[in-house]
Amino acid sequence: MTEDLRYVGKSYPVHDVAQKVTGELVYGSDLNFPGMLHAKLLLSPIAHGMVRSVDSSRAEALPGVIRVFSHLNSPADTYCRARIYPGQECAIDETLFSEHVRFVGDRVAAVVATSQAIAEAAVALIEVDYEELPALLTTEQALERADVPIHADGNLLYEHHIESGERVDTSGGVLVSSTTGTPRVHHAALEPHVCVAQGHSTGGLTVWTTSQGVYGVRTVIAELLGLEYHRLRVIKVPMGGSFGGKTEFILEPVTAFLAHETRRAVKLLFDREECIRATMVRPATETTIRTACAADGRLLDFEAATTLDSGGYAASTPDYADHMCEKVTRLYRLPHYDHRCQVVYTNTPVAGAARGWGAPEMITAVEIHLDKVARRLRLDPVDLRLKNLIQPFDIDPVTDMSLGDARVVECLERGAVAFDWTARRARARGKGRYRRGVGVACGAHKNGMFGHFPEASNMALKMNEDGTFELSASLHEVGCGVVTTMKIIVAEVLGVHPDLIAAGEADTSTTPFDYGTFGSRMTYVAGACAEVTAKKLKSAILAAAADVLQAPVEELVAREGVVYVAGAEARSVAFRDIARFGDMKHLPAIRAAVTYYATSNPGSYSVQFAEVEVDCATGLTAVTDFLAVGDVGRAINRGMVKAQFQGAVQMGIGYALYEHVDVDEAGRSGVDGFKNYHMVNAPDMPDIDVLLVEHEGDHGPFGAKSVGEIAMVPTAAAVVNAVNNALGTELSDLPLIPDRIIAALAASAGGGA
Amino acid sequence: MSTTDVVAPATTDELVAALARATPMTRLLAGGTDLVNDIRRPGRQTDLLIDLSHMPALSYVRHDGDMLRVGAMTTFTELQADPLVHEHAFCLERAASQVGSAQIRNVATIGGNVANASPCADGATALVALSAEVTTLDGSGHRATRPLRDVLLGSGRTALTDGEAIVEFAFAALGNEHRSAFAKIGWRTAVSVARLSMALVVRFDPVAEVLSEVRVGLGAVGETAFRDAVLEGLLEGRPADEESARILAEGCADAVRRSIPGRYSLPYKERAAVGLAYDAWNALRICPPCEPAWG
Repeated sequence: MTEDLRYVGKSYPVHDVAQKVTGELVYGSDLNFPGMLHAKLLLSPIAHGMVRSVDSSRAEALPGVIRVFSHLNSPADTYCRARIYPGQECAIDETLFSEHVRFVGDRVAAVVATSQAIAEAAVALIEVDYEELPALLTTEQALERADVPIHADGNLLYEHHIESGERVDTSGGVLVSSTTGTPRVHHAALEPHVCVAQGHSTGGLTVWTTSQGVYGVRTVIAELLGLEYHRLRVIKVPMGGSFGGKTEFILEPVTAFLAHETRRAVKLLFDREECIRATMVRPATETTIRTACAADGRLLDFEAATTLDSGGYAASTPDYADHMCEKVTRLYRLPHYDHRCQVVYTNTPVAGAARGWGAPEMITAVEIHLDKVARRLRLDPVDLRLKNLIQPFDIDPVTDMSLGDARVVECLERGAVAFDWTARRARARGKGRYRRGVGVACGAHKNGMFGHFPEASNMALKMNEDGTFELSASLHEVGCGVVTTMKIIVAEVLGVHPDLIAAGEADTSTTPFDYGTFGSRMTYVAGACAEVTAKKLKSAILAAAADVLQAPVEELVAREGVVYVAGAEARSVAFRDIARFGDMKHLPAIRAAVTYYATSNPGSYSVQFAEVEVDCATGLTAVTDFLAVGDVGRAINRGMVKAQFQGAVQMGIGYALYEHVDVDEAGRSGVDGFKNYHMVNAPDMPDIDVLLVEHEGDHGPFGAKSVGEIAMVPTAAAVVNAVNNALGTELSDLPLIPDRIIAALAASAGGGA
Repeated sequence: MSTTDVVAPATTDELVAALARATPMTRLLAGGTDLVNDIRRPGRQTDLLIDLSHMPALSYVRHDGDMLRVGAMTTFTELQADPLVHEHAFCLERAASQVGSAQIRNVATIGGNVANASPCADGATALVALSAEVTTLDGSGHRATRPLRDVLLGSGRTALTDGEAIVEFAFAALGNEHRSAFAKIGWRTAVSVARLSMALVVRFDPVAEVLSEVRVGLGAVGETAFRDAVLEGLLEGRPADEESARILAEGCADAVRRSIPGRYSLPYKERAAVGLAYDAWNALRICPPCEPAWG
């Protein structure tokens, strides 16, 4: 199959690159409507308390202010920001405006005014009297203080327990225990959160959002506001990045409410500080792992206990916990696996969806732990992993599903050679101020939500009168090139260039139901849907061509927009002429609509290698070289797949070394912008080599598997393992900011210049 | 809603006229890399914004007898590339080159850096070590000159009065027997404010082969950049050897302990100060002139 591919596997820019660089693209914050109003939220300045009173009289008196809303004049109904279809089970604990405020940044009130400046001025005039409650800022505090419930059912939000296999005799084995902390981090999409909604005089509502799933937005808003679905239209608009931070519905419900109440267009645009404090963060986790190993390095027993900090509301964290318990057995063969995960409310920023959905958190803990095991056993970290990694078509004992054509062993073996692992690992770490080390980590992720949901996608494809094509699908471009990916897949099947295919983004009024772009489901599930849809359309084209050419359909081949009779290529008809033949006789039938159900959920894998140099005097770590190997099945858009890895490595290095949203004793985050929220920037980025392992043994289009999330799953652990190799430390509390490295060196008395 | 008047004087007379209108709510725009964020904060009211970017007369570096004079509106990009700064104030060149990003250095000015009075201002740390004087102009056209250390009062606080603009910095140009250097520790290599910074100025007598006229500026370890006399005294009269480097490093850690006792960042900074001092010391090697041989 592969040698015949004309379009799949080559490199293409994202579909709207020209509009982006020329400034033509209209982002959410660029939207403007006649008479549009501007909203500004009053966010709680305290971490925990009850709103005793809200006096908005001075704000309402300000010229230009239309309305002020708080819990006093808005629905008290609760909703879940993470719900993606009606009736989905989830933790429903959030209201539009809070009487009981649960973190610094909780929504207390909103002003709707004729300008942004007036709305901002008016918010400052609202007087709120709070009765403060004890702020529970860590999961330990929250579990201890049962007398201070953050939500009615207590502070322990959710527990999950997974056990697979049977305990084996571990006597004589090596027991190792470790605890790894992963930080709360900001998604740091360049574009801040924004939503625009138009309340119609008819009572209907249109919402323009930078969401990752418009159908979920529709169900949450419709049920909260009591709207019939056909009167609520949700349109995806171009966005400047998400990384999961826009997966859940944060601004959409409140903006829709404000527009519906005022019957006007309303724009709600957050600034960076609001994005950091009051949207969502990657959850902070702490995982303790205990393993027993045979002397040769085979894992005999694996027990883990995870505590996940949900922040002030549940969002998607219970599901996150479930998924954290489904990562380890995707990666390693374990005779016995036991994992308990608890999710705890605290009075800190809301945690929820973030790239990798639990995998970076869990795999970081696992891979740091395995390096500790390797040190105890005096085994090379690569060798230890090779003894334990899963093999292609293993059955995952937790999900009882096949892991598919899982090529993580090949990733590790080829990567170790390409990185020159053995020689680099043997090289002296140095004894002076600057010390070098190398680290490796493996990672596993999934392909869609099969096994959890009825995983499916819908698409429709039609041929135009001139032989070009239009794909109707609920696509959400979040920066990973999904529109281009779908065009390439359709183009490959139809045998025409991707430029001859139009594909737009999601609009609940015009594109068919789809969950959205998340869960590593786009290429594997929606891409397969695109492939099946295009094949169905191609059959219709060939059937029409058979009529035109008066030849059996089995003898026809389509190439570059022309159908030929095999062996008699002078007999041919172009796609566009099929449309015209006999007064448009055939064109009305040349369309296809498909509902595609996923039937598998194989593993996607990545193995990554990092080299670091640590300055023992300042504690600053430089990542000096990096290799990312990916088992992606088949690269559809090769340049984009490599870029996914490169971007993920940037994010993963930040996760390992820099990024964290800590809160002070009052529950207030110490960071409020990119001035003090440090990400890795260009001068500190290493060269990143990307090596793709392509086997196409699964059900994705042309064998493709997911890449966007798996790409960052092992990154942080590879970096941390390299630092520990350089310093001879066992650091496992992320991020490894200079202060922590210096403290560790001082404690081991081996540091200093 | 409050409104802001913006004036952009192009001549000294226009600047004086603008300064004469100043109130406590007046701000001077000298690049804007900090100011633009600041004036947009909720509750900030600015009645008059005096944009100094149309004052080419305030952008210069020139030799004046034994002094080097630097116009307040000289950008860090200009300082970084200036041959006089390279030759006579190497620590200022090094500090300028480590401010923010290239985009920030293209607009941020040395005058703005000092007037903003951030404790971690790289330019201020270098100027303190150079014992710079500040010349200001006010709304009556009066010029006043005073030592920089008298202008920097604390974090975000200066002795500048409403309607008083910094127009020039002046300091003794470093000669052939002088060397200077600057080092900084941030959160990352580039585009990071200093967590610790040091500017070092020494005279190295080629005959006696000892250090004299030692000046050490420290940044980000207190309310404002300052010179540490104790630290300076440790090196006075010493040879330029590894032992001096060690004394500077340990003295720097002591200076940090004296400056921020009990601060949560002290355990890190007192140790990192050692690395900072070595970085500054080692950077003296690359300071022009490269003869006589150093260390």
